[in-house]
This record gives sequence, structure tokens and C-alpha cells, in this order.
Amino acid sequence: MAQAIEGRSLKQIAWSRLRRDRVALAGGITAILLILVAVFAPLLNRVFGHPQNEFHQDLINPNLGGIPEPGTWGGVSADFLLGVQPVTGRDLFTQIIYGSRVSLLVAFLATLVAVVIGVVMGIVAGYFGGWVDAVISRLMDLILAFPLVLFGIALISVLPPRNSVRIWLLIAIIGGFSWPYIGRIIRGQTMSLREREFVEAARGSGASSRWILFRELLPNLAAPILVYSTLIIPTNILFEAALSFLGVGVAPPTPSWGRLLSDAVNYYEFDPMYMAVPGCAIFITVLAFNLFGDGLRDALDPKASR
Amino acid sequence: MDELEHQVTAPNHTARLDQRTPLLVVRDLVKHFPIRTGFLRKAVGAVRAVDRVSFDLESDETLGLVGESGCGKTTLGRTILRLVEPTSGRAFFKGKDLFAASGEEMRKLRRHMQMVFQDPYASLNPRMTVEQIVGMPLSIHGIARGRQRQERVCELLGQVGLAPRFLSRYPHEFSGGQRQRIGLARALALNPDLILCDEPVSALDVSVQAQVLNLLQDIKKAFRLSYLLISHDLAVVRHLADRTAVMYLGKIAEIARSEDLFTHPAHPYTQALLSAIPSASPGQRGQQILLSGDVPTPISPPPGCRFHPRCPVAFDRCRLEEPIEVELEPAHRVACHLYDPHAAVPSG
Repeated sequence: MAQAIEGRSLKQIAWSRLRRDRVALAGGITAILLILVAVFAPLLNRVFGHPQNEFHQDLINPNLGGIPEPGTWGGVSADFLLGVQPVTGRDLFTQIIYGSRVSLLVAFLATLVAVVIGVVMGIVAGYFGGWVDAVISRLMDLILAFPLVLFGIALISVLPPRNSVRIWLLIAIIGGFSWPYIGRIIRGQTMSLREREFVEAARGSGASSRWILFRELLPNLAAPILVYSTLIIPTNILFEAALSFLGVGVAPPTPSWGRLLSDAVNYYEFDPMYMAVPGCAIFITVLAFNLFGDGLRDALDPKASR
Repeated sequence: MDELEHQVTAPNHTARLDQRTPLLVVRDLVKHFPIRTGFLRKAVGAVRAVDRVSFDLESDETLGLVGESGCGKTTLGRTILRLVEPTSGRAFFKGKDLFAASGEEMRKLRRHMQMVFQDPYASLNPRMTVEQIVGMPLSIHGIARGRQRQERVCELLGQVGLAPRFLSRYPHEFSGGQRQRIGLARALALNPDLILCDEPVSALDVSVQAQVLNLLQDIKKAFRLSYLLISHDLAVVRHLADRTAVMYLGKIAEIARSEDLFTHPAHPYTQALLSAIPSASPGQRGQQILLSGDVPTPISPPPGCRFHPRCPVAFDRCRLEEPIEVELEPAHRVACHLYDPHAAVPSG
């Protein structure tokens, strides 16, 4: 009797859907490549780049205010794949791949913080309801209404510009302010799950609330957690870039995409490539994670027909 | 050897006979769900789901609980297991006060009273394997784990007629009947004394219903346990229950041994329900008593006897006074003014 029912698990269904979704797949592959670039940045740099603080004065024209020779696309050559920075003449490729490390590290860890807080708060609010739910929901409203960028600037700028402190602070602020997005979704999902009879069955067997929350409900929330984590990552990348652009990100000399952009503002009329390169890096990264996240959501949606 | 065993078990047995404590005693159980509206969540009324219900359940006995949907039979069951907190009343399980038990005491008591659910699709966690589902109660109470737990789960699956190779399967791979067997295996895991079966077969195909009912009966014999069987299906109850209680709008209308109740129904409501059962031989079919109207809302039940607006034999007193339970014969109680010895002559 049972052999006749060849059931496909959700994982298999999702994977077969995802495999056919070329856009999502392209986004996923790009995202993985970007992660690999960040992980192997020193190795890549040894092959294709130059040491981080090696100045190449020969590639810039001091008579033109320190921009690379006009007509060379910002100093692009076989030796300098993405050109050089104005004034200093440092390799832009090196800056970009080292910058991806900061961007992705901050975005990933901040997402981890957001997911852990969001899932715990959402599941607790959704399961217990009543005043617990009221308190947590109002807290989420409060955080979502908070002028986040101002808060970030204010807090980070009064602290010592040591990177060891700043990176963790960035992660804490970005994560601490983005958890309500996932928290709300988990709360809603939990509210519908807790009415299912298997929760009552566990309670009838003597399970504690903690057991029900983390052993019974959490495995059923895997799909939304995965999807919304993937969709929070690009938001956090943008947020880190914005803070760096405003000068409250990681401190120099550690390279960062946001700071490269803000630096490029001074030169965009004469050296547009300097702005285009970090801009494209941010754009491609955010787009890749977004496309993958959207595809994942469609693939895991039980109601989708494909 | 035999003698020794006899000596050991005999005193226990007599003690049990002397005490005659039923496994489960329920007295004046009330569950009202407040209806709250407005900003301050003020209670403006209450759904009287269960209203002063009393009954006993002996060990090794099956008590059927029948009634239309919305009559409070499911709420009654869940209140006894304290999945829903009671409004008032008392319940004793093996002599222990259920509603006074603390969280930890209740957790221990739950080992002895388990539940089989109506919906075999919602009652099994879709993200857990059969081994995890059936073994869950064992893990919660720290009884067995790892290899030991797996062996026990295999044994339980065997008892409900499932092969051990299903251990690592997920619920969606099974049919409704098989899922209900998994649910039963989970309920049996802790060797309970009482299993509450809430519409155990009503979600199943008719062809599978009989299999599961027979399994329930076999299990009961093998494990010597008691069932509280909730169903709207009179045939199911007649097949399994030793005694049957008929509920109407949160109250027990009639309770008796099943063969008594099905052959000599006393309450007009029971008579109407039984007359609606289709007969296998069309010629033999008795007159069907048709009830007019719908079940009144349990928010404001009718005054007097709750059944009087639909009762074909209601008289004045039924509209004014709530009937109390009368014992017609030993173990056959009915709540109807027709049988009140003090009101043999209807006044007016």
C-alpha cells in the first residue's frame, strides 16, 4: 500500500523548481562566486592584483589633479583589471575584492543576528499571544519606526575608530534593527501553526513550551527562515554601504565599497570609472542575492503551481 | 510459581474491588468560553460549551460520547486532559485531582492519559519522521533514547500493524488510515490507562474506518485500557462502547449501557437520533422522528430543558424548569421531566 505512494519531500520539490528557474539559479551562482571571492581574496590578489598599499604614481597624471590618464578607462590594463584609484594610484581590483570581505562579513553576521533575534521573538510572540505578543509586537513597531541611519551615525561616530570595535558595532546595529522584518513573518506563521493538532498532541504528551517551540514548531519554519534570511542579506549589504558612504563604516585603511563610492564623488566628472566600479560591485551583489531569494521563495511556496 | 504470583496479585485485586474507585470521575464540569469584544476585551457573554457534566469511567471500559457537532463533546474531552482549562467542576483520575494538579504533576499524569486525534493530517508533525513522532513521548519523559527508543518504536508500530521499515518515513508518505495508526502508536507509547479518541475515524474512508475500529478494539484488549470515545457516528459508538452518553448543548441528556441505550432509548432526543440511523432491511424500518429547527446557540441556551424547542413531547414544565438526572434502572440515567417520579402528572 505504501509503496504506491511515492511522496516527494519539500526539499525535492523545491530543488526541482529552483533548477528550472534560470534567473534564480544565475543569482545563486553569482552569490556563491562572490562569497568565494571574499573568502579567497588574498589568493586572488596575489595572482591578479597588487599589494593593498602599493602606490602606482606612474599611472596617474599629477597635472590633471591626480586622475588616471584620460582615455584609459580609469587606468584599466591587463595588469590593473579595474583601473587605479585617483591620487594614490592604488589597484582598484585589490580594493574591491578586499572590500567584499567587509561587506559580506558585516551583512552575513548582521543577518545571523537578525534571524536569531527575529525567530526567537516571532515564535514566542506567535505561540504565547496575549500580553507577550502585545509587548513584542509594539517593540517591533518601535524599531521599525526608528530613524535608523541617524542612530547609526550618532552611535558609531562617538566611539573610537578602531575597526575591531566598529565592525562588531556595525553588525550589532544592522542586525539589531533588521530583526523585526523576519520577526513579523515568523510570528504570523507561528500563529497559524500553533492551531494545528500536532501541537496539541505534543502538549497532551507532556511537552514543555520550550519543547513545542523549538522541537515541534521550528522545523516547520525552516522555509520562511531560509527565504527571508536570503532577502535580508542584500538589504544589509546596502545598509553597510550607506553607513560607510556616510563615513561611519569601517575605518580606513580597511577598504569598503561604501567608502570607495563616497571617495569617488570627488572625481566622478573626470574619472567616472572610479564611481562605476564599486557601484557595480554593490549592484551586482544585491541583485544576485535578491534574485536568488525571490526564486527560493517561489520554489518553497507550497501554493505555487510550478 | 503460580502460587507466588497469585499471592502477589491477589491483595491488589481485592483492594481495587473494595475501593471501587473508577478510573476517571468527572463532577459538575463546566467550560464557558468568554466572548470578548472592544478595546478593553471586556467579556460580553460566554459560549456555554460544557455545562455541569458528571460521569464516571471505569478502568477497562469504553465510554462513548455522542452528539451533534457543537454540542461540546470535544471540549469536554479536551478539558478533562486539561488541554483547555475548565471554568469550574472537578475531575479525578486514579483518585488524583486533575484540576488541582500543578504543571509538573500534570506532566506526570499525562503519561497515563493520551489522545488520538480526529484529523490524521494535522495531528502528525509534517517535519518529523515516524520514529520521531512515535518516540516523542518517550523522549519528553526521558524513558528511552537512541537505540532503545528505536526498538520501542518498532514494537509499537508492530502493535498497530505497521512495518518497522516505515521508521524513517515522513507523514505525507502515508494514507489516512496509516496515519491514524501512527497516531495510535504515539498514544500507546507511554502505556497509558486512558486514551481519549476524538472522532478517531470520521476523517477516514468508510472502508478504512472498520480496520481502524477493529484495531482500537484489539488494542484495548491487549493493553487493558479505557477509551473515552467521542463521535457523532452512532454506529461507531455502538460498535465499540460499553456505555454511551448522549450530549445535547453542553449537557448529558442520557447515559446508559450501550445495549440498553440503543434498544430502549428514554430521552426524546436519543429516540430521535436513533430513529435517524438507516436500517439494513428497508421493510423493518421504524418511523423516523423528525426534529424541527436547528440546535440553539450555546451562547444563550433556551430556559428550562435545553431540548424543549425541538422536543416533540415537550410540555409546560419543560419550558420553565431544567430537568435533573433520574436513574431509570441501575446505570441508566436520563435528564427529562417525562421520567421524574415527582411529576407524574404534568401540572396545567
